[in-house]
Amino acid sequence: MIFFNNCDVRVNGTGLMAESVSLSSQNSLRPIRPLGRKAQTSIEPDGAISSDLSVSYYIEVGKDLGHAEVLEMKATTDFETLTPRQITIAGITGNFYLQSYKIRVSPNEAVKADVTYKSFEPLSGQVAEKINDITFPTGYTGLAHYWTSEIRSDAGVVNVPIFNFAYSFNARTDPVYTLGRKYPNQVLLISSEEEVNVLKDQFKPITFYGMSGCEEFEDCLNNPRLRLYPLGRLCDENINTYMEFDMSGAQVSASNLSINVNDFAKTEIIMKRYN
Amino acid sequence: MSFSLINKDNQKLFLGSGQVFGAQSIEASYRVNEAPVNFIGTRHFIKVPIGIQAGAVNLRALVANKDPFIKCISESTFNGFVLKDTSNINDNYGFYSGYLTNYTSSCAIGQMPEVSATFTVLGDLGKIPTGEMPAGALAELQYIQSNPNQGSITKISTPSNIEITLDDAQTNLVNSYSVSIDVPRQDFYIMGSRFPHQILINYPIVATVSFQIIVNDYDFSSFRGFPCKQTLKNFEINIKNEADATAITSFRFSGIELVAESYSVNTEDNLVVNAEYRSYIPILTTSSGNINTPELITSTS
Repeated sequence: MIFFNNCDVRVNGTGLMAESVSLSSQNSLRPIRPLGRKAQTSIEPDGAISSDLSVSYYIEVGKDLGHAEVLEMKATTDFETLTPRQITIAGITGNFYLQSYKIRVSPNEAVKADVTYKSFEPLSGQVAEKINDITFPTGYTGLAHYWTSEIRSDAGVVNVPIFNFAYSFNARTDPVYTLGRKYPNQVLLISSEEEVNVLKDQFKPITFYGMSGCEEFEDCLNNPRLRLYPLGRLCDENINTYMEFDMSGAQVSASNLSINVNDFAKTEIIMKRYN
Repeated sequence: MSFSLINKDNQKLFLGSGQVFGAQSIEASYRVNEAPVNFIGTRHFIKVPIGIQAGAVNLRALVANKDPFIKCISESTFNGFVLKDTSNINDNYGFYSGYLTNYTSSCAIGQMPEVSATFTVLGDLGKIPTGEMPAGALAELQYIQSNPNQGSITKISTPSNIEITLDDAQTNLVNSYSVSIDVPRQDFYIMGSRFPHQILINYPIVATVSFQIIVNDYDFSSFRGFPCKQTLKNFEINIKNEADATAITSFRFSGIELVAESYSVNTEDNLVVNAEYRSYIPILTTSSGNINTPELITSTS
């Protein structure tokens, strides 16, 4: 038995400040049932093997591997050959492709990311103790936090009250198989989409299909975006490291007003951008 | 070597810019909101701030001159200061942006009438540099500094000066009363700030009145009467000045419901009933620092 603090979570050799990890491998099977027999005669493959990995981790501003990969996937022009990440979980290693990345900026909490990966090849290794220590931060200074998050535009801080903020990126990848091979020849990046979810206390009805998401921040001319600073900026304003989540081009897909007892009338606005 | 210890002599309590006369105790506390977070792959952890930053203050005072806390049953925030020397406002222990969450007025045989107030502090609490105070709190401190002599105790009430106008109190003996008013609050935060964006009263405000009565001909109720038959009462509690019997504070309840009764007798004591009444105040309206609602009207001199 290996306790959690002796297990590794590494992406291309770099550690993640992971709180939880889950890994599942699937084998697609189907029974062959010929006429005239009650029982099956055999089980045949019904698709490729795959493994799903999900990780929840704290974000260290400027060092978030998931965010870096999202930016890379959004910027790439090489859609035909997606580069996998080699991920090791407690001695089990595989080549994984990012499927989704999500952050939530919730009241008075450090910001966490939830990422999911998929692998189309067999995993290797056995559950084993970590080989050596990963260097983790020793304090909260670098963590992204609600208190040091803001909506910012080219004109400065946008003063629109935002109670919660969530951003998600979802990639559609497609493994390409060829005859005579068990595993994909290459993995394509077909498309990706981003979703921004903000919670406000004002409702703006959707008036036409192309309603721009920037209108929710009342600063369309200056490209509003989410900026996360490290928590240490509370104590030292000279800390200028940040991560940004650009929302330009996003369009409002839903605006949901809800009222519950003991709560304020809140509007959840969902904006989407397709890449 | 002996130390110059701080005792009650040099602990003047101010709520806003006004001195609280007859203050009996001040209890203020905070706890930083950190929690250790573990990561997979290491024995080390990081202490991460989690949740809101809040402090708690409880003030207790005799009913002297006026009730200092009733005015805090309001939507507004209050600041409080404990000063050793009113001429040195930098040497303060205090709080700003405190919201009253409970007010209690009580008296029993052998105990002076007392009031207490509990605040949740969402601004700051402790020794606060004057440069870090909001303008309102600083202005109050500066007022105290320029008006250090705010008088002394001229009126005080004792148990013999409590007048309760309740039908059961006419022919039975009331031993003690307690009026407790809970003001639930809810705070809302926006991204980029540790301070609440808005704090709202989460109505209803709950006023609970308890009496301990030694029974002569007390008319008991039973719980099966509820919900078809409710025992609703109107009564008044007047806390009067000992010297001239003028009212210092009064509470006038209308249509308040009997919600609990206990029957207690033993070989050493007479039959005692504890009766609890409750009223829900759906909207808080105030006038000159007093509650003025159909359910409850307060007045303090």
